[in-house]
Amino acid sequence: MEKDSGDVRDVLTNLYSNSTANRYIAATVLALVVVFSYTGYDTLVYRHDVIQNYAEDNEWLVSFETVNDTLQQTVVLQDEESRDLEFDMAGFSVPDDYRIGYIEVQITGEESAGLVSGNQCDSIAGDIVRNELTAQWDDPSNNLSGQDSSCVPIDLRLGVYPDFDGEDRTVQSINEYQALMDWTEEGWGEGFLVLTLELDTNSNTPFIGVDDDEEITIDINVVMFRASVEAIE
Amino acid sequence: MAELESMTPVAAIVCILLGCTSLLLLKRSPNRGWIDQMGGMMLGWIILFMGLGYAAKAVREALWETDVDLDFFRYTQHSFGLISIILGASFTFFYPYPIMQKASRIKTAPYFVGVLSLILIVTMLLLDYRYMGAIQILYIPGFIILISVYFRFLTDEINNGDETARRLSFAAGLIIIALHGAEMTWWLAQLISINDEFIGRSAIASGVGDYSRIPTWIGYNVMTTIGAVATLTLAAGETWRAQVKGMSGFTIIIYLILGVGLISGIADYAVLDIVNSCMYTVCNDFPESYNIWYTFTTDALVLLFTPLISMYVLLNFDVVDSGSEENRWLTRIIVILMLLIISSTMIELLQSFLPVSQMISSAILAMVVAIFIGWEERIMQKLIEQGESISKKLSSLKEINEPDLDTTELDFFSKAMASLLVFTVILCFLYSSIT
Repeated sequence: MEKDSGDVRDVLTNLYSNSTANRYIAATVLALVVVFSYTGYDTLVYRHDVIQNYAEDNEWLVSFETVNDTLQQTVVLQDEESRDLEFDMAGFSVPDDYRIGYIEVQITGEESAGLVSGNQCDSIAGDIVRNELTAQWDDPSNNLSGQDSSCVPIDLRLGVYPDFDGEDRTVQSINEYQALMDWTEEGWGEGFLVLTLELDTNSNTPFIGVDDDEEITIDINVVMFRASVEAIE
Repeated sequence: MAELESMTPVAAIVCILLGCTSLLLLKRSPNRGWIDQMGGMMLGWIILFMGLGYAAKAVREALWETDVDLDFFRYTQHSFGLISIILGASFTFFYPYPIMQKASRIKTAPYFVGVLSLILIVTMLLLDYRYMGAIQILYIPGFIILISVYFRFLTDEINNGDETARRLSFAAGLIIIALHGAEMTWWLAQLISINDEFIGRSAIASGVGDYSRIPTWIGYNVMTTIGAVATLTLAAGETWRAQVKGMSGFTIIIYLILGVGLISGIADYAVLDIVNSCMYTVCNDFPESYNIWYTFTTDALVLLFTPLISMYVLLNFDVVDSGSEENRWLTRIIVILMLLIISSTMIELLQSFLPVSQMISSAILAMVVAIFIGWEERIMQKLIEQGESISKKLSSLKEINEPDLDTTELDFFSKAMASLLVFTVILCFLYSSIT
């Protein structure tokens, strides 16, 4: 057979004609096989198994443990008076790992509290004033203003933490950390809660005398939560 | 600190420019042997397809945050990248030591590359490129051929005193760097088997479902293994040669890659917590210094120095007739142009994170220009004088067949690749319009 016949077998015979070189080539191929074997095990077996846990988002049950901190303040308003009350949110004690979920405010007049019997109900209005307090001001579940003249307490509500309603929920994410990530944000509920109260008395009740003021009690309930997750099998 | 700009547009310009010029120079070099003709054409088309792929990628990077539909560019980027891989894997069967030497086999090369490319382009398109990484497996036979050529002729040079044998081992070594340069800088990370953690991070960050396919991961592991083994075997071979013959430029390049890989491996190990953060918390960003290191080593090697290495192969191994008066001016222009584009890019990159004023960087660029102009004659003269076709060496060994092929038959390869290019663009355009 001619040395330069061009046949693949002859070409390969020529290429591998040096026995010393062949030993180095064999060692290189062996090295390829060895390195591919153990790195291949790490990549294709071990890492692939690890990654498969994240192949589809896992389902997690997020549940909330809540605690409350309350504050009560009583003010006396004169007839036709309007007054702003300011509450520093830093005054509420938030335990470690807890976030403020929402704020509930109850405004109760003395008649509705049963303090003065037989008197006609005064008209009380209360608003949570939109300001720099970091909260969900546009949340549809908010109740930022209320008015009553039938001796029923006024309940107001301001959502503070995004999407928090205290109910357990199911989320999908690749790990526990990311499942909890939406519930560990800092900075919500910082600032001042400002309430505006207005009073309009009904003073024409016979035998009682002139009713030209009202003692109003404000109860502020700050609901705080800590989220925990559990994998759903 | 300013953000590091992408090198992709520069790589696109350099590759397209070099690809077109080398094909043009080859056309003007009629008296080349069939190995040079075939090798040059394949190399030219590899660089051109790489450049077109980079151009599509550069458009995607530039318009990433806009509303423009980028599907066409995504398809073309992957399709051209795929063709360049198939061409790169086939190239090693023809250059520097042609395994396929019979006329019939040489004639089937364009059909083989064309048909395989079309099949894989359509398959990958339909599978949304989920198994794209698996294509890298095609590099295995080529690597074994190249490393065989390297050791065969290195041994001939050292043990048998054949000084001209260096030409072939040098060419094989350069082509290994051109094809596997990026993975060669990850040799330590692969040896200590931490590359899988980086693959895992990419998988999670990119949406696990699409990227955790076993064939793709086999492809990645093949490439990183080839890179690690290539670095170590070339380093061993060059150390052996350096002990007998002294250091050469190629030895220094291999040691540089070895050193870069060593530092990269240590850096990779140091950021493993960040790599694994994707799994246990959220994907944290790598430190800025880590990104800068990779921009100046792996990225620069792939995007800027691979075209330079290809240009060096074309000129130093006399693939194109750079000595003829007709080609000389074009060769000079392209050499100077490429060196300047790459130098200015590197200076711009340096300026983006070093507190160097524009006046200083302009002065450095002016110095580089002056050096290149001053040395241009000498660099070119040296390249052309040293240039000796490897086919002459193989002929002297009687290890090359001279098949009965005329230029038209060899030129068919270029026509087939041009048709493939047009077909790919039309296919990608149609597919992006339909989906």
